[in-house]
Amino acid sequence: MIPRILRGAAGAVVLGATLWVGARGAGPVPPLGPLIDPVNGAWGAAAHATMARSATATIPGLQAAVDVRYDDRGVPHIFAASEPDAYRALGYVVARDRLFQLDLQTHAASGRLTEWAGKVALPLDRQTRDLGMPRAAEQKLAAIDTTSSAWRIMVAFSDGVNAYIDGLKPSAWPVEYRLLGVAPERWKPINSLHLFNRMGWTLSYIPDEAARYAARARVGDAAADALFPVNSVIQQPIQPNGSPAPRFDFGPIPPPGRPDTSAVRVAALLRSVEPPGLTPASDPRHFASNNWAVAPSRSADGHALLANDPHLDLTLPSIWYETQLVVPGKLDVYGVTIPGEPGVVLGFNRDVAWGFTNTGADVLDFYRETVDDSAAPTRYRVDGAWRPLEQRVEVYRGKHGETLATDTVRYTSRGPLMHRFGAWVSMRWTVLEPSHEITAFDDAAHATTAREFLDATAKGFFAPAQNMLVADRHGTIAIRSTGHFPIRPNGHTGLDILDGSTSASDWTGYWPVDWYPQSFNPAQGYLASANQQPVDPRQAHAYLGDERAFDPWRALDINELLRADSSVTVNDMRAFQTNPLSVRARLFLPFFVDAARGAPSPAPVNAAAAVLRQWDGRYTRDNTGAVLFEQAMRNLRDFTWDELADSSGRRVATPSDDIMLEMLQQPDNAWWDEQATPGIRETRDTILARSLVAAYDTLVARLGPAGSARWQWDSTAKVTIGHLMGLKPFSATGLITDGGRGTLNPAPGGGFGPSWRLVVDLGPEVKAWDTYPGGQSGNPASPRYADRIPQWLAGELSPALVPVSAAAMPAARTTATLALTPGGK
Amino acid sequence: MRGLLRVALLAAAFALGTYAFGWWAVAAVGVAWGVLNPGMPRVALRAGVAAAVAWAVLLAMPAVAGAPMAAFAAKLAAVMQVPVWGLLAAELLFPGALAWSAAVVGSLARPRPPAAGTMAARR
Repeated sequence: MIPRILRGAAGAVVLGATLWVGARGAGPVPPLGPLIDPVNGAWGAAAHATMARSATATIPGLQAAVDVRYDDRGVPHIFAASEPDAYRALGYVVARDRLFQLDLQTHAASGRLTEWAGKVALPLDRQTRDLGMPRAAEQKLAAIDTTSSAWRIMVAFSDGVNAYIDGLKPSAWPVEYRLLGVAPERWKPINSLHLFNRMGWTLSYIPDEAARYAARARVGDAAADALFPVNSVIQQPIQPNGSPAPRFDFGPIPPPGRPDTSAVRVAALLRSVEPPGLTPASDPRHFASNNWAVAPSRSADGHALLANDPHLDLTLPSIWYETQLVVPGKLDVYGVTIPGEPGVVLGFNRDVAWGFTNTGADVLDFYRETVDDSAAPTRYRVDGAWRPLEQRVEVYRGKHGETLATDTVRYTSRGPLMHRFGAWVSMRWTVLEPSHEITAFDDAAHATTAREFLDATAKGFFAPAQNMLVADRHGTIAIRSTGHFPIRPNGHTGLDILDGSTSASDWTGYWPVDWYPQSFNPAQGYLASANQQPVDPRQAHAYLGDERAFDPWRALDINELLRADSSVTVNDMRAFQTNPLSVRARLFLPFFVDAARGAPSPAPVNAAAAVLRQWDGRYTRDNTGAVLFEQAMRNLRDFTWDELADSSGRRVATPSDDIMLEMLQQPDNAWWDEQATPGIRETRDTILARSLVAAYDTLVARLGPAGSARWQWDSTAKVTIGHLMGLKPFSATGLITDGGRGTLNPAPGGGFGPSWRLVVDLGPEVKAWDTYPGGQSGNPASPRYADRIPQWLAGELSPALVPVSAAAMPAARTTATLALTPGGK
Repeated sequence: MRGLLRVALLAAAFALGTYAFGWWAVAAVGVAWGVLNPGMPRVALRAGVAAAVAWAVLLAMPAVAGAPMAAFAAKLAAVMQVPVWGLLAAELLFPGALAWSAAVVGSLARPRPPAAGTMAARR
């Protein structure tokens, strides 16, 4: 018999331990009670996996009842009597499907991830706050007129999100809250501005300005400037330049020269102040977006056609949420919103369709500042006068509200000030400037012509600059690279660190709209953008950006497809989006094959060349040539750019593949000579053959004999669509589809690619087809979590249902209804 | 039979408590059970079993109604980096341990009934 006292002690200890683990967790284990509670815990995700067929809810401030009908693709069609009510309903339905995503994105964008994840998130939050992102959102909010439509929209959206949160039972909390041991947070209007800033950070210029300096430090200014030019050497710009074919501006590349020792420090300084995440060491440009439009004169049905597929990180849930907002006589817009943004970002209305690609404009400059105290400055000097620095104390809190860290972030009039390598550098960035994106999107949604759309966005849209492509029912197709582009003082391109001690270094304004790269109804009958240089430098008004941000390959692909088809159908538009054609591969392949022909030891190189000769240069899933080609290209970069490696063997910067193509035109250039083989003078063909043989040997060792199933593209280049928190069981991995680097669908081989696909036919009655790699629900247990992925992989699209009213919504395609009525607190 | 019925009623109390108030209701019901039945043989064990049964039933109910509990269990277990059986074991052991220990503490919080009561029961 156990003594009573011992039994009591054992019971008390077990009770205490269980309650502790249940309420607070232990080590990496989150609070176990709320997590595994069968009713209110993580299991709620499965119990609430399917949306109720009929639901009702109240939203405070709603002026009249709103009818929401979900179609058989999970798309909510919102029928409201007023626009604020439509936005209230939008907030509600987005929260209903994507609450955790809303909350997570906001925490990330406002530098508050530590409040969920603790100290581990401190570096990420510090980046966000050091860049001035939360301060910028606060300033933008303060600048919004509270009688404006933008304010009304933000508040209405916020009301809708909060009505959902207030009515949410713990059993219906998204599973991720349980895994993190945190609770949903009420929505604030400023959150929408945080998210716009975050998009700006992601897309607003890929400022690898350090690459040029790092190269100068290795091979001197002349060679570095040729390897990292301002303008793309392949010109097929977004704004048609009158040439039907691409122009190759190839010139001689100077040999490696004497290192520019002064560039080392500048490169290090630039690398340390550039916004992180945007400066990959290798060529960053094969990821981006496509859009194109065909004029009635070149379409089979005589209507304007438009296609768009923005390339972003592929995530589950998707960055996009599809919806329709209908307010009779006022608004009827269909498309995708970014959860948290009050409005449709990409899509169409009854008259106009639009799609964006990233411009990649250089809208970020650095200034070396003179400060009064190198350790803890309070003032900075401009034009001989001291000015006070704004000092903002940033407090990072943990899960339970405890203070984890406190920083002081300083600001000059230009922007945030950073202390790196003994220098104080401030940054001016359009992303941080006051802007009016919500008004711009709202006005654009009401546009009835392409011109109205572009003029509405040109007024308020600041950043990230986008190549906005529009088509309307009148048959107009148009494109304009839209954002705010700085006018820099004479002689400056924004590629250097400017002298902050003089106001003569400051921007003097923004480009007038007629400077923007643009085109309306061009003679060629189509328009296409795929992140190539927007305007031919021979026609440009001013410096817009750096070659490093512009990718020519997909532009060559789509222009070739559109040039060859003078009777484009909707199905052609869809098929182009996943066309495995690669002009890049076609341009490089002959060099490898020809080099193999002349190689001194023919056996291995002939076997490798045979694989490439049999390949048609298309990234189909079952081809066996692409894997060899890509490996050979990697080797070619390594062997050719060996002079750019530092003493540790790490390459400090990598020229883009269009520069490699330029180099291939120069068979005896000194760059071909390898440093590792003194006494032997290599030429282009030696290096090409060596790259090919090395690739072949590597692949045979790794994959087995050439041509075997493991050489198939789909065995090596798979798509990953990761969960927002990186949870593998909630991710989709090992997915197979056509495409690859330099093709219109670059998704295989990574987790980045077409995040949405849209084709619109602007006939008398607008018709559209679309899909995205994910599903409408953010609940991993829901059948709508990833239901569109098979369709996306197959390159198929679904027709969008676009009813003009609730009564016109087909009953057979209505899967659920939601009645929203005024009420509540 | 009476004992079984009492355990079933106790399980229902655990289930209702969890449904209405969350996981910590298991501890509250367990303590109450212990306080009300200080002299009952295996009072704590009965509480532990009843709580485990209650949570098992709460998990089974949505599955019977068609919710994808089994498929989700695999994902959830993978996220938690435990085998599915480990997750399911935790679903039973956690409430079991909580209820057992709460009942032990509850039963000791009140003095045992006098021996006469025991004699009377024997008669």
